[in-house]
Amino acid sequence: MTLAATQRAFAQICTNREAREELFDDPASAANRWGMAPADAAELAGASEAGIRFFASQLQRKRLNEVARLLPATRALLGPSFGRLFLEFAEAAVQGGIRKHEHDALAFAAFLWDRTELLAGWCVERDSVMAVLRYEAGWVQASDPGATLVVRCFRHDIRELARGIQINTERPRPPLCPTIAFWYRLPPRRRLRHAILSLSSRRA
Amino acid sequence: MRCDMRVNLPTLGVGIGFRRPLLGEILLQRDGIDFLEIIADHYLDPTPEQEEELELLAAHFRLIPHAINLSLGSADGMDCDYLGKLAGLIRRLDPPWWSEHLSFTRAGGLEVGHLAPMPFSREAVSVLCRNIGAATCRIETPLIVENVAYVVGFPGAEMTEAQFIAQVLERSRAGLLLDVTNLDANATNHGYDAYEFLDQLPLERVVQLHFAGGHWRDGVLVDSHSQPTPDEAWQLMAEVTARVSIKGAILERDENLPPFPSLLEELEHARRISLGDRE
Repeated sequence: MTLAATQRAFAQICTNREAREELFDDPASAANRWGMAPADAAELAGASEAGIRFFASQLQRKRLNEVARLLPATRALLGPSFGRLFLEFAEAAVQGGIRKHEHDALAFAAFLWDRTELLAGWCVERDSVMAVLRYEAGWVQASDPGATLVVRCFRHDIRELARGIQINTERPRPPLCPTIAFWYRLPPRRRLRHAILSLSSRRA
Repeated sequence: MRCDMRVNLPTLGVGIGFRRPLLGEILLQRDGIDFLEIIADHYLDPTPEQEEELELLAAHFRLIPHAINLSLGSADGMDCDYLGKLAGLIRRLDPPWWSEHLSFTRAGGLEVGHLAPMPFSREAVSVLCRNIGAATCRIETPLIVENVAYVVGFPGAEMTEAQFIAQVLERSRAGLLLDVTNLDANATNHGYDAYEFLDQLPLERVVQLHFAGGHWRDGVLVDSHSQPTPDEAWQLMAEVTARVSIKGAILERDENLPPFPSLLEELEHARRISLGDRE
């Protein structure tokens, strides 16, 4: 097995749970499906299965920790489910590049946004969690050195949401208070600036 | 890098890997820190805020860039864009050396996301030496390469890990960044003697050390950089510094950050060891 083939196969099985499970269950099938030579797949499957699984779990934990650092309030709101949902997302998506953790965070936010049914049954209002998520994703997007303006609109005062939401606590919905959050960079230094404007004269 | 080139490198002392939550303490306590190691990736495509941070650090400390995604071990070759940006950063900082890993992070267009181990094979030695050669042609500043912790051993190894590292060093121009914590973790997890490992290395090629503490998970000693440096790592540091004078040592603490004075105590402990005061 050439080094290039070994590395390609290793990268595949460490970042894709389906490929990993298939390799250990049926190396010949995995070889056919994932583009490996049958002998190469058999050889890799013969390597430490526990070691490969452990390394794959390390990768996931690392990605999870980095994304949690970028979305801390969302993580606090979702609790243990944040990790479970992220691992579900991470099995199907691998980011690359220098800003891969930021890309991971934004892609995970989009994943959650498309799967709001995952939050059904939560005591915390789903809309409020989504608002906090969108706000934090706004920060991540604005942190890109190429971003000059990021705008997010909210139906409720995002500052009140961020301050007041507690996990598993029944809480009345905050009164409607349309809010705009925006992040911008102006020349010459282009330092990141942030402001939140309430569009109602009455704040929550 | 041959031994005569190593002699020309300055002795920097003992420092710490820069982590943003430690910025204030590092600046306040800079008398206890000889130099900083920065993660190069954080400054390859910097925001204005990161630029300011880098300027502030460089104004107070000698900075050693530690890259993590050049993927020196990739049979497919390195990322030219990444190498170009890294060259720019190193040119700007003008460090006495920079570092990367005996590892790969990219293959077949996929990013692994972490430092993946190399098979201990002749082909892997050749690939590493080829990529190290290409990197050092582009970046004249001396390169030192780090031994990584690994849990997966590839089948069909043609040599031991120590022999593998020794061959890469002998055939390339790189020096060695010896991570004594990774050595301890690998020796523990794979059942070999760390001191016999040292016997097989060209220790005169060691430029810098890394030290840190890990934790146990599912029966595996993980190099998590989340705990105080254990006795085993201190003893390995003492053994290495008894045999060869090093140019620098860096404490890596990424998680579970303790009160800063305890980190300074670890730096002082490393100083006493490297200067020959054995406890």
